[in-house]
Amino acid sequence: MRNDESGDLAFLQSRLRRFRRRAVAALFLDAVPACLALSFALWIVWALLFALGRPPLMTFALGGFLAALLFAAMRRPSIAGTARWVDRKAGLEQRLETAAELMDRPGDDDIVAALILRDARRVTEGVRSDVVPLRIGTGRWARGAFAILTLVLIAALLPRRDGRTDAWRFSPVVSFSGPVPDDAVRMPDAQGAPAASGEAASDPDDEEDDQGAQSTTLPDLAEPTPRSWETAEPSRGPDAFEARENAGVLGRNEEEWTAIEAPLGRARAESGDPETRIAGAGSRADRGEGGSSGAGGETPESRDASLAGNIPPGKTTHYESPTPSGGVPPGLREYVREYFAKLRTAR
Amino acid sequence: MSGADGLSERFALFRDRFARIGREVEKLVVGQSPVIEQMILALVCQGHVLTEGVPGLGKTLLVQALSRALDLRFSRIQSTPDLMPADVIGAHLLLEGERGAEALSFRKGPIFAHVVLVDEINRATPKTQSAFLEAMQERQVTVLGETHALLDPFFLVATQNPIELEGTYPLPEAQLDRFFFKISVPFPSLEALARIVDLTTGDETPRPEPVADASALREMGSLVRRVKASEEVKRFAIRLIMATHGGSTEAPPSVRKHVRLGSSPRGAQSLILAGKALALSRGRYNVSFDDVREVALPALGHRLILGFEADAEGVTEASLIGDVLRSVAP
Repeated sequence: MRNDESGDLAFLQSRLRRFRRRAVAALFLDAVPACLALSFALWIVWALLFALGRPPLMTFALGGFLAALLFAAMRRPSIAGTARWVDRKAGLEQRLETAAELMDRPGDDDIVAALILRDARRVTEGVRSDVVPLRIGTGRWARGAFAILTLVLIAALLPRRDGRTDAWRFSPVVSFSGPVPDDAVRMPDAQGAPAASGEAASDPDDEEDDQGAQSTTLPDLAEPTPRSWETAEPSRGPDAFEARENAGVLGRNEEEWTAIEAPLGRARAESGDPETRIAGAGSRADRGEGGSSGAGGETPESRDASLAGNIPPGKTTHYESPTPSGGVPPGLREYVREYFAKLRTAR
Repeated sequence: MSGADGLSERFALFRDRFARIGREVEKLVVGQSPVIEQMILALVCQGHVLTEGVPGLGKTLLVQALSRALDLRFSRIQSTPDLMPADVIGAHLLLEGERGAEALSFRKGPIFAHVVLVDEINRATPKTQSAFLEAMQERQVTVLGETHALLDPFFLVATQNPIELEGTYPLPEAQLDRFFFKISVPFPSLEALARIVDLTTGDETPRPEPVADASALREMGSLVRRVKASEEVKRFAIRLIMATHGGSTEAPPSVRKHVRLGSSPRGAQSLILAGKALALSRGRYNVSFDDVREVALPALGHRLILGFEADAEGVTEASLIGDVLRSVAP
């Protein structure tokens, strides 16, 4: 009898351990859809937050599977819990559960315990392993997971391009960076950047010292040709600039500028101040009234072009910054500085 | 023969006797199989039963048939308002001895029997009803400071009529709680009624044969207590008891509204013990959740004290126990 009893006990223990392994696998498969749904949702959030970065899809999918595995391992049932589960699934009327409890309490009415173990073995022998089915969960989590997975696959199958040459990506970024300054110039590397022309780059701070030299060393910038304006961006042409200025894009229209500059220019011209002469000539040139050559013939376009020439070699302009803010463009900064200098002088 | 094999045979004998008792009783009582099964369950658990049903359903006949099938001493007490405790438990009589000396001698009442049928117990006065309290709980009676043990086994079956309540004294909660089961005897079906007519109007009345005796009944009672109930099953029974109390978190809304007082701990004892007997009668050595569910109504129904609204809305104990069983998942 003792042998029979220990045989029953060993049989039940081995069956319960097998059922428990299967229960863990069933828990894993049940959790896979939910965990994949969560990881894919994270992937989408990541992709939306970091618009230019494409998170690796496989990493997230693997993370989902690992999470499901972790979940199943954490919820691994005890032997008593497994017995309870099998009882419920196979309709054993708590025979296994009672037997599992008696396994842990030897000596508790041994004769009845032996009978219960024998009875439990008898009914368990007829229980197939598939009483704990191994199938992926089909609940609402699963449906959500497959919907999200479809979205992710659509997003993942979109063509991926290099950010430096991708036109689709560039346009939205520029429009997202805020209003485009009118006097900013995007310098193509091949069009007369100091480094490209073979000249030694000068210190950007020594702007006044180099102003005379720039007209000779960088003639295409000192006197911008229509080609350079149009190739940089067609909307930056003189006509477009004037139209936007008239529309008050820069804060002042032509009448306001005239009201500010006319008395100022006359006063300075009478006093013989060269800076005032330059400003006056510049304002006239803006209005298309022509002017003398050299510094006195400087237009806003030529000023900005000369400023653009101070960009260090190999460095692109700020418009390629991927961040929405991008900082204050240097050209705009200079323009604002000059504007306030004029205001101070006017006062 | 090993211990387990010997015990297994005794368990098998239990099942056999249980089935044979039922078959013998069914010779006389037709169409009441669930009632008979519940009655035998209470009997092997050595618990008392309160039966309820309209007159003429065979309640008295059922108890008589049971006592005959078990070959037990049977007595019957018809309760009336003038029934006195001495009429139940007995009294001291002044008797003259052989030499002419007078002495007090205790004359045993009808309660000194194995199976005692108390008909319409709610017609007895509370004083007489209370005379049954000690007998039911302690299985003994005390008269003038003298204690007398009752027969073993002692099985009291009381009946009450739920319709004619005028001039009755509803049983107090303490006494209701001492009944192991309260069994409602339903009206028989059409086919059962036809068989009853045939049986009772023919020239030959069937008579149950004794298939067990008092010692066999005691043996059956001891076997019942060896059946195992797992911790989960015990916890389930306790949760059922808790759910009959309106303040419990698991109590269904109907219980919160209509139950004034839930089941006592005796309810849990009845659930588990009756579950053990039911499991053994069905060939198992362990109690299942279904066993507990099956005996929940007879074990708990009379232990719920309902409020006025329940009467007004026609809410019954059966519907409340059904709600409790639905609200408590194993």
